[in-house]
Amino acid sequence: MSRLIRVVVQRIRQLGSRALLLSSILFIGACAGGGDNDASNNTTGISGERDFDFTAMMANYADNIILAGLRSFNSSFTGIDSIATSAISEYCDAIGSTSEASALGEAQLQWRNAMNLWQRQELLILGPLAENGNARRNAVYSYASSAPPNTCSVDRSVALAQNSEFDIQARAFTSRGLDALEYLLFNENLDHTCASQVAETQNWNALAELERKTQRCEYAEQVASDIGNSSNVIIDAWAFDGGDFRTQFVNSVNANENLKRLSDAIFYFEIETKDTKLGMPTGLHANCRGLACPLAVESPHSQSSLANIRENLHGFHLALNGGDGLGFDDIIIAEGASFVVDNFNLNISAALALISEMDTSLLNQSQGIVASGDGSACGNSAANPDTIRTVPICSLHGYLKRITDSLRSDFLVIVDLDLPQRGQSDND
Amino acid sequence: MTNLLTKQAQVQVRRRSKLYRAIVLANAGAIMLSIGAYAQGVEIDAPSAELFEEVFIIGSQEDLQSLAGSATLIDSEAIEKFDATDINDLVSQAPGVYVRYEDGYGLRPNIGIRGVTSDRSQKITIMEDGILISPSPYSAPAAYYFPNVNRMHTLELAKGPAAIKYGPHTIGGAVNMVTRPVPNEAKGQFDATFGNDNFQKYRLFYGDVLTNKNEASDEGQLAYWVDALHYSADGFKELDNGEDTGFERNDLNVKVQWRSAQDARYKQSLALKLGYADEDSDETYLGLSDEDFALNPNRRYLATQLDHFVSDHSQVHVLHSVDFGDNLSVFTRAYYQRFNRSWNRFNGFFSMEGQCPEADDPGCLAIQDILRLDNPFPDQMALLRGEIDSNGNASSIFDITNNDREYGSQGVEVNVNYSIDGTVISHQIEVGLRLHHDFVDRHHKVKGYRMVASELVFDGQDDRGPKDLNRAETDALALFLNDEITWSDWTLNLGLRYENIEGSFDDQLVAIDSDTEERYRERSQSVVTPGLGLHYQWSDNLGLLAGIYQGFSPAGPSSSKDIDPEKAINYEYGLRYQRDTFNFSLIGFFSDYSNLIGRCRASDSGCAVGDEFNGGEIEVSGVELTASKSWALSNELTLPVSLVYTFTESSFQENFDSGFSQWGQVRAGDELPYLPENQLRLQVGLAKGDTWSVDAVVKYTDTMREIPGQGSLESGTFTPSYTLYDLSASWQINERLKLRLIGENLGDKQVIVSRRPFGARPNQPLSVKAGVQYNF
Repeated sequence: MSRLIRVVVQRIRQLGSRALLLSSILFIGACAGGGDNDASNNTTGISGERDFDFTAMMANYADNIILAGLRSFNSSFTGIDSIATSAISEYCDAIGSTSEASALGEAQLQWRNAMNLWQRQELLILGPLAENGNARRNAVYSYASSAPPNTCSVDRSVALAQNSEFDIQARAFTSRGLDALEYLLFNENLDHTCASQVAETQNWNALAELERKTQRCEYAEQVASDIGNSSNVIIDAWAFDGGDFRTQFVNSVNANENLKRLSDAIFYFEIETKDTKLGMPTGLHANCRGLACPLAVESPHSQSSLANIRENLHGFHLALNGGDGLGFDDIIIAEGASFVVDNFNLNISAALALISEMDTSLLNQSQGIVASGDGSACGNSAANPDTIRTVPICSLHGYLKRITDSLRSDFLVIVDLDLPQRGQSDND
Repeated sequence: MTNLLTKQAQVQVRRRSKLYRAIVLANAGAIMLSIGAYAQGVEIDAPSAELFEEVFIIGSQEDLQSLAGSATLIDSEAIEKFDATDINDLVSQAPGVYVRYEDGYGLRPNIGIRGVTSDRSQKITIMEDGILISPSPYSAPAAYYFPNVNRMHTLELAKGPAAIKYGPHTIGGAVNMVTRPVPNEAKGQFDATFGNDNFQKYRLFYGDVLTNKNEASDEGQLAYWVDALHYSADGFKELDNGEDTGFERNDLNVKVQWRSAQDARYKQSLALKLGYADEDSDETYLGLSDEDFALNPNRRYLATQLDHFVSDHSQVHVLHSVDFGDNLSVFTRAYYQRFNRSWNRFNGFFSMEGQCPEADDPGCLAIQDILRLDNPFPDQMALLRGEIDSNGNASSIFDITNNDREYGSQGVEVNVNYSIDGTVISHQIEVGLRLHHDFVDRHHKVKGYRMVASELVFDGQDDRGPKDLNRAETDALALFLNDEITWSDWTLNLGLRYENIEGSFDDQLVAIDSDTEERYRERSQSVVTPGLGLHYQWSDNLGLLAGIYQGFSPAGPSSSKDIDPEKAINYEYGLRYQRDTFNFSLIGFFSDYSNLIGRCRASDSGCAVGDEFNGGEIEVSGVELTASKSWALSNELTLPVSLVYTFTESSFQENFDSGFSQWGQVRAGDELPYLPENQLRLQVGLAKGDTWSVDAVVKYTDTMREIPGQGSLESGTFTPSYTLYDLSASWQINERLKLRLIGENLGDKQVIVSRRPFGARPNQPLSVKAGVQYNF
């Protein structure tokens, strides 16, 4: 009743100020104005911005980024247009002939192309790729996993593959995937890398060079085919008549869960790209106990570490902006923080430009830090990437750190998400 | 007005007692009567018909001019003019009323008044002869049963303070449908109407006096009527396999009424009404994607090929009035009603393990998301259309749920009227008491079907448990007190309503030994709502009115304890002007909600049926304008014109994120869904005495948001504005025979009138009906 009395008094006051009844009527008709309570309650955990179309955003990520990327990668290894597989087969056929070198060069080029595609995909390890400890991802590429690539494991599989009953899918990920393929296609040392007591490789070094090249190439064909099968399995896990993860991913009832999935996946850029791929070789990450750790360089045989980081940058950009569709950037802009997106894009561009200017591989630069006996130049380069580029990979690390710092703070706050479990600390 | 007054003079028996007029609070809709006055109801509204006057909540038009509030009365002529079977078409003739079309035939109408949600008419009080007629007005107020308006004599809508006496949902207003009076001599009527899409309507009415046919007899009189109605259509939508979609409705009612002798010491009247109605329809909740709608609005996806609604309604009404003289009378109503419905319909797709946030959720993909413009689920969309077959995944299996419910409603209501005629001030006092019980038993059973070669085939799994298995019931005591005080040219109405509502909910899907709060819920609500209406007769022609009352709509028994009842303080004031045949009224209203409730229906995603959601503070305001005039072009020719216009605006007053799918993320200032800013209806007629008449109607409905929002409208979130044209012509060939030709939506314009429950749905296309009426 007290509320009634209060409101009545209020209204009488309002109405009393109108002299004419008609004008009062019209006033009533116009007085359901906008509210004055700016307080929010019961937030969903998703961005507070209203009407953001999470279904469209997730459909964009699923169809135009994740599945499009997977299909593009998959076409390198399966089907009639499987360029990488074909190139490897042609190389195998050319071993010992005059076209061997050019065939190998083409196979290596196709590997690089495929690797570039996958490095973009690395920023979106989620859903079927992330299940069972990233099992499906590790089947394609096991770098930085709990069972990283192992050259001896590859050497053993090469030898075992000569047996007609050999089943590559029964082998550990350490001898499969793009990293195994890299070793098989780029490593010019034909000797095995296993300890002498490893039975499978005890007779390997005694084989003729041609035979060893052939056996490695034949195994490379199996690895390429296996990568194709693995990527098929991943795509099938998203398919409506397969695992139908797409329906789960796009369904807005799971928006919270999948935004977190996407966000966690994007943190690959900090944990793997910045810390592992660059932080270790530059010695800027605490896990590197020396001035620098050249042995931690990714893709050492192909010397494509910087290309990998470049593609990670492109992948990050894609994962952040959602390509031409709705992405995290749209959430951030809708929240009125477009400067955060601008800063991301600015630092991504600067990092890409710096990579394009580098003519010394990451491995060589890392070895240079060790050889200099002084890490201060690297530290200065990392702290002032715009002005000091004494050690370019350290300047690059500086740009990446700017990006990941913003990822940890601005991004998570604005999109209203938490750090991934594995990214709780920053050990730069 | 000449016609009207002539009619009034004839219909003496319809004049209400002075005592009963005291209970009337409101008016505004005299125009409806004035429009209809020249059309002839012929025998049924003959002067000697016996109306049970107390069943009216507004009364006849002579009450209207001095009433302190707004209301609308649509009489039998207006109902008959367009041979109305769709209640939506009728109520939209009143200002301040909003309808959301769904099936195109008004089978399950969505009616809102002054801003309350129109969703299944659940926030208005619906009555037949003043008796609550919704299947379960307290426990589950969604009106899945709505009486066939075609058999009604009068339709009344009470708004503003007038609504406070007709609870429990007083927040918007009340709709009362009054059945035909018993005749005082043998009278019959046969009516047949045929239209496109194989529309057929047959109605047979017959009434007679069983005893003491001489009205002037000193003895009492016993009279009755029997009213049988059947109408059906093949439906204007067509399944992709070429099959029809349609409906069939039957309605059989009997009224037996006894009245005491004219000179009885205590005049009494006793009526028994028995009614049975059923429906069999191929109705569905599934509409179309906007893209498909643009190609063919009347398409029905193959996913709906099994959709089927079956219901039956039975009722027993007993009405008794006694006039003790000395200004005291008592009116008693007792009612017993049962309604069973089974709606087997497409409800979505099942989900695979891990696809839903809740592990035990059988399916969680909202159908609205499948139907979106950007087609984010192309495979599911192809399944809906039957373009692909189901695969081995659960996510391609159709959830066809039989929403089986039983409703019951029973109670007794006593109104005592007492008047005090002072020399200066007079009082007309009414006290009402109602004891009511209602319930709903929900047993929703789900089955799975696969799409195989464009046919839905049972997946063979018959061990799926029920989706919903619960019972909600309510005992309610309602009490109101109303005093109409008259002093000179002033009329003051004071009203007070008390509701004590004891609800309980038993979710039988929860194990008996589970936490009692989870399985059993009890909810007790008591509320006192006051109301005040004031009318001042400024001059013979001009009256001013103002009113304020607290509106209320109870929370359901299944709602959690943090859900508040819906409450609003409603204001209205305005003026009415009448001179000769010119009637004009302008009434402003303002509803200040302290809490709006959203109630989950089976068609809402992410909530359980009956779940309720707080919507916080809301403001709804508007202006209702009605104007009418009838010109006499010659001794016989008249040209009646009427205009009804409503301006409405609304806004949420708080920011909140709601789990209720119809609201979602709401920001202060957002407009409410399904409230058009402008609504207009213009009717122009031409009539030659009782011989023939032609009426043309133009109806304009503004754009409507479908989700809360403000500023510019975004594609796919609003329904467009549209204008429809109707035409009615009737010809009274002789005393017994009458022909009628009706065209509705003459421009054959179909637009998206709603995207609820699931997807875009059209209004009815061009409809042409020809009918013949024979009176005997």
